[in-house]
Amino acid sequence: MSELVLPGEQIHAQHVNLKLGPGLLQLSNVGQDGFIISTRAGELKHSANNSKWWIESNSRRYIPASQESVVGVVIARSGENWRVDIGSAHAANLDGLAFEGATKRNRPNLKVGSVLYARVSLAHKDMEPELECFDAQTRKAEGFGELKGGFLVRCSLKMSRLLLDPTHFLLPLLGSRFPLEAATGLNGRVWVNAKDTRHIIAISRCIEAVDPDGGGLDESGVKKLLGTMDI
Amino acid sequence: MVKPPPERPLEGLITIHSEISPMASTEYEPGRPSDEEVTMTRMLDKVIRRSDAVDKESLCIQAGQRVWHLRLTIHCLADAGNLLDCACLAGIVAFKHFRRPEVEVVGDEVTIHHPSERAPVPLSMHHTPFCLTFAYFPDTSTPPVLDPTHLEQRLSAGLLSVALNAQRELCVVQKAGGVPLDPDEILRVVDVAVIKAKELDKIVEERLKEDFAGRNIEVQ
Repeated sequence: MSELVLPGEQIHAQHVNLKLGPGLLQLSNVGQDGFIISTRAGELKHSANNSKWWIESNSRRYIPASQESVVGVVIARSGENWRVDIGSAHAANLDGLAFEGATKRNRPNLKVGSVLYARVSLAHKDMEPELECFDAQTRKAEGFGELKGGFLVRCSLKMSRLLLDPTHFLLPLLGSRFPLEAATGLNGRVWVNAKDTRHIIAISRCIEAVDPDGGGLDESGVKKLLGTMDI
Repeated sequence: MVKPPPERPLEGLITIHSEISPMASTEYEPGRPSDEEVTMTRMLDKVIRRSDAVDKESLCIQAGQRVWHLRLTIHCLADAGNLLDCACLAGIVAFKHFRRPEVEVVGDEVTIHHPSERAPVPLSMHHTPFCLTFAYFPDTSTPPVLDPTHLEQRLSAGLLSVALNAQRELCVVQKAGGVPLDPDEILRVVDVAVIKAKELDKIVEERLKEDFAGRNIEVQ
């Protein structure tokens, strides 16, 4: 039921409550109903009742979208704000006070090179993206903020979406072997931490092996790979 | 086609333009050349221009008046480590692949034939240099790594770049700081580089031949 589309193709999607997901754009012409075109190359998918449509594609370049969680690296400080590299075309801006419980006197102590887990609060194609380190509704940290220690692994965007899926096998499989912490950003970066360096290397190798770009190993393949490692 | 500078009226001109844009990686900023960019520009210049890989005299059309000016532009699309080797390989293969329009000089008249009238002519190359980079690590028990990935390059203590051709002729040896090496080690590394250069040469020749086999057009 999935067809391959190229950017610029018109998609015939009709529903009363139509919701367009990533990769689809609605263009409106004056006087007539707007028509929907695809902006990415990939498989066109829709939900069972045809109300939600989206395009499944893979790439390594991140395009910021609002309310997505990303892993960023601080590259510079500009006044009270921090410039953070999230892998997008422009460096993102993070306000120095955009943390839980931060006041002018009580700021988090970030340095150039710190790794952060943040949420994209503002993303437009012509502006620099903006980040916040707290949850939108509860205004509490909820896991956002500085990530200390650990190691940053790069992967494709599809892999980071798979890692965020609670039913995916990889992280629970690794977690059953040794304790680990992981923070997955939708920008193709995963921060991992474990007590032993060899465990960290094992996690990073497994992520690269399961990545659809790097072979797409399945569960039994990963078990074999772990068997060859000295952990 | 341009007028040559008066001090070298019999040679063509080659300029190489390589700028790493932020498209290659978010580490590079536009306008401000990073260290790697400066090294890359200098090495490209040495390996492709100063080693006389392209025969500049064959680019001369009329002595003192008209010569071909070749302009090579390198766009880096993605940085996965070792951009230098990749850029040198791309530049050399581009010159080998390129075909220029054929020119006929009768007395003072110069006629340039369009590629659709007469088959374009390859550039005359003296030799084909390849650049090979080895990364050395602070822990001396780790052997050097050829063609480092991004992570290996970041963690390395020093890089040694060797440019040579398949005929065992060294063009450039560049080592800017890093781990101290003794002469035996460098000779060993050059031997490895020779083997790799021969392999690369074979691959390049095969692919270029395949490509040209597919480009024969018969004019009826």
